[in-house]
Amino acid sequence: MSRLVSLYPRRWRARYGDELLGLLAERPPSGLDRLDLIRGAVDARLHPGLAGPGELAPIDARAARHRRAGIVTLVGAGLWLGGMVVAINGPVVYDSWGTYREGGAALPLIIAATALLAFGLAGTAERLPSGVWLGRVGALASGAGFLLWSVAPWVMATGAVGVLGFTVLGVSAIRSGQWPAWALGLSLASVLAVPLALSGILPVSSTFGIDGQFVVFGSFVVIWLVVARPLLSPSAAPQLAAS
Amino acid sequence: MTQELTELGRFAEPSMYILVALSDGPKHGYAIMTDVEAISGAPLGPGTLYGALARLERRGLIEALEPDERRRPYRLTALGATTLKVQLEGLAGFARTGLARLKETRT
Repeated sequence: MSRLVSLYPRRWRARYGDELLGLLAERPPSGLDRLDLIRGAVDARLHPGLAGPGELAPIDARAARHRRAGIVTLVGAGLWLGGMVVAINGPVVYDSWGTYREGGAALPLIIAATALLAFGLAGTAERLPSGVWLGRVGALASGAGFLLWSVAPWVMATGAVGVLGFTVLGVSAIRSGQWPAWALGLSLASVLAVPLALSGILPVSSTFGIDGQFVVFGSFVVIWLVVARPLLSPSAAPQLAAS
Repeated sequence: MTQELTELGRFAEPSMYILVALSDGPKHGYAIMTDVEAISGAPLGPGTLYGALARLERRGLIEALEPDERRRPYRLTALGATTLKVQLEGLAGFARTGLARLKETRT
């Protein structure tokens, strides 16, 4: 028995070893118990801070970090809308491409807004249950894709990667109870507005003229709000099983 | 404020049982183990028990009391009690919904 307990790290043994030995003396371990102890020792070595300070961030600090990510994301939403306002007030240009509004002045705001969204995506990924690695990959792809797209909006592939990653993250967030399903639906609907507007199905040009594209892009703000909302709200009722 | 037991991964379910076992007063490891087995109908391994106890203690959901020789009792903290209450209310709501739907299907 003591040999099994000696598999645990020294600090862990100093804290729990004596009482664990006492427990094993009261209830001699079965074969399965011995395997469970080995598994426990591996776990204790993988999480050395469990028996002392330093490993797990206090929940208050973690919640505060998520709140900060939510606030930063909301600031990003403001910057995104601000960027659209700046773009709509840009000069009208007439050249070989036709008549359009020069929205280059909005680019710094748009890039900053997208960079701030990455904090919200990271916070969302951190709140996923352990083991949901696909959702975390989605968050990474989403943050990188959106950021690259904001820097070079003409490279549509980066935007597509961002949307795909966001969808994967969203599905994981829904499955873990973090997001309601409508949140992802609303976000994707705002993205879908772009091809609908370009194809003329959504009559934005006839309604808003040359500012139609900025109105459509402005609706992307839904994404920031969807990401920020759960980060700012108090913890929802926790679920029992990790997925 | 409550804590999300889902963060405990494979220790989430044992942790829930441990919190329930401690809900009627402090218990030491062996008593917790026996109580959890009675509640869940399944044995709780000693490695899992102490993995879960360490996590619950680190998160402030339980606290260790002075040991009596090798037996160290643990008790629920206020945060632990609140967290357990939220968990159980969530599960009760889930059970009510499930049973109501099942009843609708059968009728």
